[in-house]
Amino acid sequence: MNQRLDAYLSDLEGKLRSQIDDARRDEIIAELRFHLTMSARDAQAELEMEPDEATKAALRALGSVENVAEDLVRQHRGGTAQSEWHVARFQVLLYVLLCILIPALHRSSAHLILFPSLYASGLALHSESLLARFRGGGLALPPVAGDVDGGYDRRGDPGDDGTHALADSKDS
Amino acid sequence: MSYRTDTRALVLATLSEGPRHGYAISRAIRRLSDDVLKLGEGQLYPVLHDLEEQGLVTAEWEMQEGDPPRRVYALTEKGRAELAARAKKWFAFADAVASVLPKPAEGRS
Repeated sequence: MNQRLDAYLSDLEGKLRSQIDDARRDEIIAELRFHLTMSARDAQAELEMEPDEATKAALRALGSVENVAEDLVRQHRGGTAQSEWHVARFQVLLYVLLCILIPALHRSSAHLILFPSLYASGLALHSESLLARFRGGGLALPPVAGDVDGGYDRRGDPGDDGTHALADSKDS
Repeated sequence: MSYRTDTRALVLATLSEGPRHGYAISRAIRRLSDDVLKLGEGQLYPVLHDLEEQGLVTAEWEMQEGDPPRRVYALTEKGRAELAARAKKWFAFADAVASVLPKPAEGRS
């Protein structure tokens, strides 16, 4: 067993826990295990790397655990990666900002109306994300790599070697 | 400089040649583009899972002796139609850009 690869997958599994159901998560981990095994094997065979170097190269090509987990969770949630905490943080931040910009706000009774309004809008966003999570086959498309709409993909610039890194699902 | 790339179309296109697992898809995109296009490998699987949810591809597990099991994706009829539509859209866009840009020989000073 490759300890580096196992550690990566174990870390990823931990990040997906509570975000993606057990069965689906197991499938994803198994799928990525095959991918990494093949990638490391090819790096060894084609680039004549040592096994550990080949594993490192395979992990680098797949991306950091954080980014991979984020993309998978976003897709699983139907294109919205907003967690409940994101929504709550947004509401509090917005309220504090409004209080700073409008000093009279917190002294007046307007906040009695404003804060519940912000809370309700956050709740609406949250329920939308929950709906998307449980919608199964009808999930909204995640914003995937530049649809062919003539827009620019700033992340798709060619590298020094003339290759083009294809844009990821966080683009649009 | 780069125009937006339609990753979904590229993935569907590689599957039009026959069923493949994720790793083979990323290799195929690179090979077919003469090493010009590199698909972020970690970004491939969310795209594949989404295509599966949309019914554009199907996926099946294949057990292997001595190797981890692999998930093989195949294009559906709906996926084939989607690929055709995206290809048509892409070529219309590419033609439009080509008609505006100077030819490479003219562009070099």
